[in-house]
Amino acid sequence: MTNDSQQKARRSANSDGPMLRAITSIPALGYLLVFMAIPLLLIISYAFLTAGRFGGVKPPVTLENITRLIEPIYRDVLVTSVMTAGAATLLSFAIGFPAALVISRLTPRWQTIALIAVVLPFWTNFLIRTYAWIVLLNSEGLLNHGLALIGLGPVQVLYTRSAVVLGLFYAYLPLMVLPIYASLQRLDPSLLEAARNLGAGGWRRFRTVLLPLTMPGILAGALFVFIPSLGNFVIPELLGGGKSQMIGNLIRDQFLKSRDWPFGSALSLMVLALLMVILWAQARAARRTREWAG
Amino acid sequence: MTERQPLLSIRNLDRSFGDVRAVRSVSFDIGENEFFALLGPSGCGKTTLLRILAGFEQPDAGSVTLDGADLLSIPAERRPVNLMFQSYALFPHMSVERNIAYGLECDKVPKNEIRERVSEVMETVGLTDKRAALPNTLSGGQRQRVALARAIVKRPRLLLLDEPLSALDRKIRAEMQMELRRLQHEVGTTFVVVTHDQDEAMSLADRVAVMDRGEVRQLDQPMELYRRPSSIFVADFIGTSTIIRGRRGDDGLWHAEGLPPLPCADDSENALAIALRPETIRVVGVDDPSAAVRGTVAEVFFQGDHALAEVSVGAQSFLVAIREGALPVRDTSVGLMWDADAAVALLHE
Ligand SMILES: Nc1ncnc2c1ncn2[C@@H]1O[C@H](COP(=O)(O)OP(=O)(O)O)[C@@H](O)[C@H]1O
Ligand SMILES: [Mg+2]
Repeated sequence: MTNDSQQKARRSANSDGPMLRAITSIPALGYLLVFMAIPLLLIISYAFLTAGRFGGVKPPVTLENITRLIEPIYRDVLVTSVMTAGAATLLSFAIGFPAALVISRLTPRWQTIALIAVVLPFWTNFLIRTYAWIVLLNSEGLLNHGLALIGLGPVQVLYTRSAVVLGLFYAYLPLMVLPIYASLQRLDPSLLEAARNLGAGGWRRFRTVLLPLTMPGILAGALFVFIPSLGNFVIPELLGGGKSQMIGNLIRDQFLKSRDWPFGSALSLMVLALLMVILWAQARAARRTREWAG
Repeated sequence: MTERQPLLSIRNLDRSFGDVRAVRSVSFDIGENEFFALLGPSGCGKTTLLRILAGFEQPDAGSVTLDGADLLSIPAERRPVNLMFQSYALFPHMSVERNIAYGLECDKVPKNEIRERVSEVMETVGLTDKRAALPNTLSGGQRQRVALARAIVKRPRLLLLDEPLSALDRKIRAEMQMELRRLQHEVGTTFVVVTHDQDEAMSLADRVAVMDRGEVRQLDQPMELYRRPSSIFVADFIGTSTIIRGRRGDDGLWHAEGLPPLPCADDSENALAIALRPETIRVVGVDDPSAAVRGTVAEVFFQGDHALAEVSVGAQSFLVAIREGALPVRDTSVGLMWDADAAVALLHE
């Protein structure tokens, strides 16, 4: 190719590029518009309107729904929800990190098998999996039978906050294991050997090398577990009984029971705002880890 | 070498991975303050041997003592042995300074002493202006210095370097070779450097162990290795040689197929071949009665300060170094001669 035609080719590639990109991104943009932008705008506008008698919204515009959010009762629900989702996230990290570590050290063949085993429960119905926990935890369930055999119990786990944490942990554990596994795959094993060679024992290697270098995966996993846990209302209902109301239950009740759509929208916005803050913090942390990679 | 107890003593070390015998009955000693090189082609077991010394691999059999005490029973993190990794293995999330300080922090050295020793070693390797930089912002040569500084700051009894210069370009590599030597004198630690580059091993080390398929084939000072290779492998691997298989006749000459009887003063029993270094062979006129063989110039390679001529005599080619006078012309006939002392008998494959 001559220099001239090369230049021409480059120019046309440059001018085709944006056009092509614009066309191919239409489906994605359409999807975002229909399933994200429009519902979000609806929720934002509902939050500033008055509740209709049988659901729905009507004028006048008001700030009352927003000011109600700071009432202690709702604040407490938010705090317990964050604590419950946080406990489930911590528990999945405590179990998920070692699990991912063990998996990453298997032979490739066994890694595949172990990863399939991790995601397998995900392919069974969510409700069935949750009901299974009722059977396990209930006063005549496997847990208490087992305890009775060794002369302990019975314990009341079902319909407590522990059962909710357990249920959330179980439901979202794969979402913690997979991203951590992915960061472990990218970790150069000679870094851990270097640390060891320089005199670092197991705990120091974990704290100063393994943990910081897999932080992107840990943060991603934590978000994948925390976000759906925070908004979940099925597991609190089934495993927590009536006592363990979470923000998800509260929002659902506003729409389906109290028929207070504007206040339900305001609660949703509050959760959304909280998640945005967390996502922003995660993006910042991720940017820092990209700097290391150069 | 000194008569004292050796610093490191390796005896009958064996390590296999499945069918691959990566290290086979390796035995040698390394003395205090020695600069020792393990030289061999890729895959011959050099890294495996270093990893055994560092404690990342356990041998199947054999023993290793350091200062007379068993080394193999000490866990890797407590051995007074530091390894500079082939890939450097710098911590990407730590600054140069923190990378270097890491080993001292592990040893719970007091903070101000850490600061002193780190600055000192950064000065030694010329990194003072990079103290706060992250490894990925450094050049290859600078990374290599950080890796080196991180290992020497701990003042190990034994410093292991796995192909320390292989990731650098030629010019920086030559500079770093000199610097490694200087550093070894300065810190007075025993260095064991692994390399597949014979020039590197020969120019750096006091002694070189040549490895092949897991075995140490010969261990000697560089000059001796060059002058007195004991096997066809070593003669071939180190420097350039003309290797002529054959047998010693009762007439005291070397008899090889397709060649006239050749001068060879080395009368070792059971020699398999003789080796001739290029600089020991001289080109003479084809009619010169002193010529040992006569052949045709096949190629002439210009090498800067000398030229290398390949002369074919039947199926055997001879490599001849030419330092002065006119270069032989391709496809012309020439005679070759050498002193009978120059031929080295090779006893092993
Ligand atoms: N962890 C391992 N698993 C299986 N084979 C290995 C392992 N480490 C090394 N080997 C094999 O042992 C031999 C020697 O390897 P190595 O010590 O890395 O050689 P070098 O460093 O001299 O290139 C090679 O054949 C290599 O494939
Ligand atoms: Mg190697």
